[in-house]
Amino acid sequence: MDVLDKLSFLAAAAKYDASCASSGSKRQNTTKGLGNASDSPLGICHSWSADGRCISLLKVLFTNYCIHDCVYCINRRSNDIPRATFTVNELVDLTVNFYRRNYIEGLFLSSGVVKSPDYTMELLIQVIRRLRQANNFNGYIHVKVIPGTSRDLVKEAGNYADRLSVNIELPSEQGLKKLAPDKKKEDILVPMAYIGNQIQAIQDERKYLRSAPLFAPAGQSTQLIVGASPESDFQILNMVEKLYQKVRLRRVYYSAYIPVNQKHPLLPKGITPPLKRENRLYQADWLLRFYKFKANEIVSPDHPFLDTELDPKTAWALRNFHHFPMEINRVDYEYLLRIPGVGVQSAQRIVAARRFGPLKMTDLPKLGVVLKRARYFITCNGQYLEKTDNATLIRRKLLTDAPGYREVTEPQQLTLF
Amino acid sequence: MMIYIYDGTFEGLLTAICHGLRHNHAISDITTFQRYQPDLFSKVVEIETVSDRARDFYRKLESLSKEMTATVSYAFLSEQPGMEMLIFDYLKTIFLHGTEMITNMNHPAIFRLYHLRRKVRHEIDRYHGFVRFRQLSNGIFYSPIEPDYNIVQFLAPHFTARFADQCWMIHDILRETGIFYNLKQCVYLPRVPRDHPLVRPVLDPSKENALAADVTELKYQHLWMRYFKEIAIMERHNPKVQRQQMPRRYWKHLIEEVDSSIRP
Ligand code: SF4
Repeated sequence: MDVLDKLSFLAAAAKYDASCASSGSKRQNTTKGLGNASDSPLGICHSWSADGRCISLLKVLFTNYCIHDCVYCINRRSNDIPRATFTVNELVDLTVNFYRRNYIEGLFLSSGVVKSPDYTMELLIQVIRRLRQANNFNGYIHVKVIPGTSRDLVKEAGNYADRLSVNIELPSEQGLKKLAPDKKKEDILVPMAYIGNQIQAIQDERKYLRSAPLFAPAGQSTQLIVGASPESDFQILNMVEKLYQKVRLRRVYYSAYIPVNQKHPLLPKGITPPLKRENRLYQADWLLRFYKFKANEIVSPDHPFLDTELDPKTAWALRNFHHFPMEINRVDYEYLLRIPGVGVQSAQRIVAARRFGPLKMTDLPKLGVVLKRARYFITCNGQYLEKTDNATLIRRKLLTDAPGYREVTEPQQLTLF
Repeated sequence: MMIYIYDGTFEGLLTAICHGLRHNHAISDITTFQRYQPDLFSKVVEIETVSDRARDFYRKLESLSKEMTATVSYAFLSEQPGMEMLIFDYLKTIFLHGTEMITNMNHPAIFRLYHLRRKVRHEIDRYHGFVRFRQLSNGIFYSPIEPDYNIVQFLAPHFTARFADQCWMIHDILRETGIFYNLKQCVYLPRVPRDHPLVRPVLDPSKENALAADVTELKYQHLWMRYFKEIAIMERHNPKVQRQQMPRRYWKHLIEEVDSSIRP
């Protein structure tokens, strides 16, 4: 089989992984070699595929052979699909030559499991070791840690990779048992915790010893499949919040379940990928990371699912209408962040601009405030733009008013990273 | 009211603005000799570029705020008609009220220039991704670009840091300028004709040129085209976002076939 065919199969097999981020690493090209990892906070997109997703990395599997039989996965053992395996040389050559032509930021390497987790991980490490050592390659490398990999190999992978990820895939232990019977919870959580500790330890060490070796400088991430199993958003977001706190996760990716194995009796029938829900989860995740929200403010046992019609911040504001209106010229930054239609950047601009004099309603769009949404929740110098005390009415207006409520309808994270 | 006319160079503009601020002139327009259209009512001042003065002025700006100087440079290279007055108003505002004003997006002069800067910056960021090198027969990695703004020099730091071990060149084929990295440093090339024999096989891949194309180079191009197709999830087909992020005018010099990827 030639490389072109292998690339076709092994890219197609890898495409369901949502992550393509290449940001947040500081690897520099100090060796006059090839490449560096971008320090731009958003990373660099080199292209966009027909599904509107950013192409930043060469995202492939080393092989799509697999000894496991996860129900949701296209590469499961019992599927009858064409199988292929790269050689280490082929993959190194592809990465370097794509990189030299500025097609990509680097490599995102994952794999089906052959023989054992350690055996597979060893193969992945061969690729990235060769890239770093023999090819002087300083571009971005994201490596998936195969669940169940031993600690030494995780450690070695972290020495070469910019980012490591162990995918949780299913947001509960029951889900895992049912749909990924070969994987145990510990196979995922133990390496995750180890990576988290290791990142912390190296960071501390580098404070005193600048030359201490890097360990996954772009941090670790994970992915959850949404909609293959019955967990609520309440369960998902509470778990995610804990992960951010406990294992120093940089990011969680949410991947709307795409029914690749239609006929399996354990999977939901005839669904279209829950893209809307995926989008809402990303927005909620955003609130957790940048807007100082707590998971149980966004969802609760009474409201276990995110509102599909309204973004989570607006939904929160309507449930907590007694906090409003907020006076743009007076409230602190943290409160500005709570106003629907005010983002991190516009909140910062408001704080900077109002030092020069009180702001008027007409100034706000310039500062990036979306008045269509913010109008019901703010005053400027005591003045309302539109006074309505009835949360139900506002909801209806937001959803139906002619220019009304046009928020980003596309899955937002995909265009951001 | 006065109209300043200058030679269209950055140094010329800085000389003009320095002059205007020093004499506190009420300027209604700053324009180039080329674009100037005589009108009866304005007094015209022809600015003679003084490099030393321009450089001193630039250093002074830099010592006040790097942020501000960057904004001014970006705005200049936008080549947008009227940017001269925007720059003048911007600097005037800051000289009047102090450098804290730079963050006050609520001031129209500050906001307008910031907005222009953002557009230019955005295109630079895009080209960090959209540059596509082809390896020419002499080994040089070559990429043509056709940016809206005159940004080719701004691409130098990123690509120099990244591609330190290969010779490469980025060629603005609209303005016929370029930057070239020779393994030691990156130099600006003020004039690179579109029909230079070396780059002809890339820019005009028809006829006999196609035969000359390098087999290895074509192999990687095909691999990339295939990858581009395979990585899309058709259940999530979304050409609208694809086009928002990657407007049609940028497709021409990409290797991947964006056009044919649209249909599911
Ligand atoms: S282990 Fe990974 S590749 Fe193998 S079936 Fe499960 S999800 Fe698919």
